[in-house]
Amino acid sequence: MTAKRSADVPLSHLLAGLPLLVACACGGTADEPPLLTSADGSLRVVFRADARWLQENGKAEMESALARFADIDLVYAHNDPMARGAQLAAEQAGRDGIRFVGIDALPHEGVRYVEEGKLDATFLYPTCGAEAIDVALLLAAGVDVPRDLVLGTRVFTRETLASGGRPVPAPGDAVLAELRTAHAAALRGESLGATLRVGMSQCNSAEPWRAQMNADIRRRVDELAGRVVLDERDAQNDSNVQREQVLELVAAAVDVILVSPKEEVVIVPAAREALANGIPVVVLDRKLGSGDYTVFLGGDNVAIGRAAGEFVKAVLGATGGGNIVEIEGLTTSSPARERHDGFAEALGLRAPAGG
Amino acid sequence: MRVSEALTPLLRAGAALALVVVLGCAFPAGGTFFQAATHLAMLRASSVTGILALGMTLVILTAGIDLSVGSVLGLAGMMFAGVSLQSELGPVVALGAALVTGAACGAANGALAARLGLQPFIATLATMVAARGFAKLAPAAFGQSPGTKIMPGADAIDGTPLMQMLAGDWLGIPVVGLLFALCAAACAFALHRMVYGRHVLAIGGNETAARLAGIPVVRQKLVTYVLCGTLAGLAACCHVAQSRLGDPEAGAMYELKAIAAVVIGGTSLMGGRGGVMLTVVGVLIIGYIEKILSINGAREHWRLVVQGGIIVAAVLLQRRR
Repeated sequence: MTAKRSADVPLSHLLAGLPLLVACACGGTADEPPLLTSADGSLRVVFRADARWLQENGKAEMESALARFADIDLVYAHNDPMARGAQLAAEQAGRDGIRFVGIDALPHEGVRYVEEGKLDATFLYPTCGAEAIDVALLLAAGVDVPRDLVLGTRVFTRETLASGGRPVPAPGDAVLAELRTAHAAALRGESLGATLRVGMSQCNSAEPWRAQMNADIRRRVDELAGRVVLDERDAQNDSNVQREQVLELVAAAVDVILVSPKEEVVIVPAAREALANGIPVVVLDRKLGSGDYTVFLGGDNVAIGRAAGEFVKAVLGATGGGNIVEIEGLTTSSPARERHDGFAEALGLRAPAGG
Repeated sequence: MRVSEALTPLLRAGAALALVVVLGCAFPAGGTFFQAATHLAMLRASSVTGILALGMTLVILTAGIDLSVGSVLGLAGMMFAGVSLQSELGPVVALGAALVTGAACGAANGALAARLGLQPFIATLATMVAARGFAKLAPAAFGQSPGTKIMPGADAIDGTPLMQMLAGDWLGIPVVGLLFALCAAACAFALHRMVYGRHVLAIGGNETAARLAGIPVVRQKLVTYVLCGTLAGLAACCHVAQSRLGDPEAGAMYELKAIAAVVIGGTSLMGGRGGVMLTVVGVLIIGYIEKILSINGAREHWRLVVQGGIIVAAVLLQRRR
């Protein structure tokens, strides 16, 4: 009997412990809005939630925000699916007049939502797919390409849809434009002696944005009508597989290797091997942990967050400010942190005094 | 005898739910917890995993487990989205395709676990992996590249009328919540008022004894897995209706949510003891905890800590019985 009783002890502790946990979780933030405000207090982030990049979580968090705040003017979501989820929640609750801003601007997703009036704006996170093939052609033609090319974003609103979005350039865009004008013949593949063999290792092809990168690469290759041959590989989110793939591409003696790395460090030896064999390595989206690459091509999430912040400032500033809900991506991932940081920087957001 | 031992399992689960609701009252997030909208949103968000948890309850009562429900939801959802959004076949075919897909996956589980005698954990793990693969392959059946989301066609961004109905309200209550209640009632009836239910409890209690008593063990287990799969198919339709698109990654980790709801409700993982209403209470407990954390804007790290706490609590509750 006593043994049985003692087995009861942890349970009763837990029944007290669980509410305590919930209390800790809720206690810090309860009844303290706004979380962040601009310097003059006109722009306020009243609700922030981690929706882990998922549409359904974006919707659930927005439902909570809607129930809690009667006055929400704008939702800034770190990607388009979460923005769409938030918009569906508002639609369901019958709340009009809220603006929705997302990021990524995939043609069949964010851009489509803007087109259909579901989102007010989306910001392109460039895949750099077509640019990667251009860089491969330039490298093959012996052109000196700068090592780090950071590309800008494009703002898609209903007004700018027709023109393919309003560009917000980054330094890399100007460099690339200059190279394109100076070496137009090389970019048509005319200076190639034989077909250019390009090997590509994608960290995974399942993510929609990466599928778009592959599509952009393929489209550019198709434009070159047989002058470029593509050897595409999917590492299925495994760094070790990716390292082997890069080594296989080296063994196959391709002319240029494109790689969108899963992780920074693991594929460095393979990249080193490629360079030692005289094969240029073009790294896409995520940097390597070392300098063992020829050219890096990627977007800038801080700059995209900043561009979104400037847009929001202009939109809400026109009506004297407003309340913002921020639906975040996985907060432990660097894109989510950077998309927040850039946004907060543009709006001059800080925690209110005493908060 | 201690008070907690005197309570029936349902009362004990109800007391835990009451405790969680009290927590909501203690942390109402500026009165948000006292609004009807909060509770209706909770019901809407919990019902999809709730429907999965009902089927899971039946499987667990036979001393089995179904790890595949999340992937089956993904696959059945792709069929529903594909037929609804990318074909001219109409809503009945779409619904039928999802339910048949779910039932077929359930039959595969049943064949592996009941007829071939594989461990249910292994059998349904295999189905879980394969169904996710088929979910990614499904877009190819509708003229898209594998792994892509199935989006609404031109001028149909808001989905089909059936989707809007499933995602909408009826008399102010979310339709998906009503479906959850209906399925719960049906499962409870099957379990407590039909011979099938007595067989399920007997198989979970002692399979050898059940076989010796002449109970068609293999057939009843097969029926149980098919029911679980079919319910996953129904949950898939509701899930797609809410997001207005087919996502091959949908339902990832839902199996764990469903199992957690069953266990927290008080159904024994050893089989033979528990019930459908317990699971309904378990679903509400998890739904409310998530909602309370969400309206209070609790940060992600705290949510994970609380989720971990819930799992530990559930396991300890199991050990007591």
